[in-house]
Amino acid sequence: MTKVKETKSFENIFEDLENIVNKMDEGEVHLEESLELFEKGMSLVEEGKSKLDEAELKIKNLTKISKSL
Amino acid sequence: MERTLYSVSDLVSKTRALLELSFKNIYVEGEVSNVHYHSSGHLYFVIKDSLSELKCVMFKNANSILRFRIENGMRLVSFGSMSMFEQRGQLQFVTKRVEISGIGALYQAFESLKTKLFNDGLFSVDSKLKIKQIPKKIGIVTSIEGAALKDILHVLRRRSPFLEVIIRPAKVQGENAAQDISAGIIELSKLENIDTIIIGRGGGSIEDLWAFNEEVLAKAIFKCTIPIISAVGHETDFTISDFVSDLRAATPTEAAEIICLSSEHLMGNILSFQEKLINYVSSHLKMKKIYINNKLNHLMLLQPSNVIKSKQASLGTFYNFLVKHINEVTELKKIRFVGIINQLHSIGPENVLGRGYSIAVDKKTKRIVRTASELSINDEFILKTSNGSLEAKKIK
Repeated sequence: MTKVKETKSFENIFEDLENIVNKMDEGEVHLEESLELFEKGMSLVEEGKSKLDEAELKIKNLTKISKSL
Repeated sequence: MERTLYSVSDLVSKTRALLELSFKNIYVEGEVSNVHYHSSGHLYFVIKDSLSELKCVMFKNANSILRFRIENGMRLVSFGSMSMFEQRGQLQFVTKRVEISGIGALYQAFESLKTKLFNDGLFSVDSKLKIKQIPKKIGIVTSIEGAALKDILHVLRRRSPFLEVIIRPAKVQGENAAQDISAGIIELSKLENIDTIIIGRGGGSIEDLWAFNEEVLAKAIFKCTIPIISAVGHETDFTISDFVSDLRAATPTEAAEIICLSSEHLMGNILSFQEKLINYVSSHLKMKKIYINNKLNHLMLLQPSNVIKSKQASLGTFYNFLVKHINEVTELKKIRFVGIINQLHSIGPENVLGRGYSIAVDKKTKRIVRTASELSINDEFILKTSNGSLEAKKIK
């Protein structure tokens, strides 16, 4: 099995998206900043989408882990 | 040695009397089998333990007041007397009353522990931990072979396949099951980043579920700082662990459904975020564009060449106005001039000529001949008519 790199959890993705949208909602950001936020937001959206599309339940048996340790 | 010879019936009858005297109004406990409700109204069954079994009879009048139906596999405490069915020389216990020993005793234990733990504050709403809506890693403490685990994993694969699941196999019934489940909870809570723990098992008898009614487990659940969902048996099964845990699921399947929002739900949320982001940025860009265009227009107006152009334009208008004015004046004059010419024409000689008169003009002097005497004989003159001239000579 290939080692999966540590990515954001969905909870973090949603938290970050929430913050970004709130910031944009306030309407007091400069265009440049809003574009930056947009880019960040869209990459989070893509990350979330691909995580959902590719997800496969990861199951570990604790007794097997402790045996191998 | 003196021989005592009994007839069979005598011996049996005496034994019966002895038995009935020695084992009168006693309790015996065992597991029920071979239940037979006879058409006569009497009830026959066998109770047994691991070594022996005993035939029991409950006569019509006794079993007619039973509040439940006796079933194979029940654990009963039977009250009555030992006796003998003489025709067959068979031992039998004549049962007067029964109580379900397992459930009765366990139910009592359940109730008293429930009251005690309630008083200790283990069920208090304030001590319930909030379950994360979107966990990343969850723990499950249950039997590795049980249907509960299969059900949970099945639902998670379908609904929330992005989760990480750590399974801590545990004994869920029998001796030390409660201790094993408690240890499982403690082990999982020592791991990093476990968001929620499910403990549970599939359906079974109250004895099978009993581990989830034990104080040691209740305390482990209460102490655990990770939210615990208790999912024991079927919807109708309530256990102490259901009351202590932070959330009760009616079944293991339901536990898997409430532990996390579904992929579908999350995808919906993501798409709505995406829409919002796009809307915000495009409206922001639109606003900026409008703003910039306004500024640009303003600047353009202030540009020197534009100032000149606008001056030129106003000069042009002025010029056009003047030209137009002049043209109008000229046109008026023209009209009046033509009028005068027409007037002149009407009073000029041409009109007279048109009526048939003609004018005589001396050919030499080019003067109009007003009287005949102005010309000598053989003088030439020209006669002007309305449409041409005639040459003539004075003859007389």
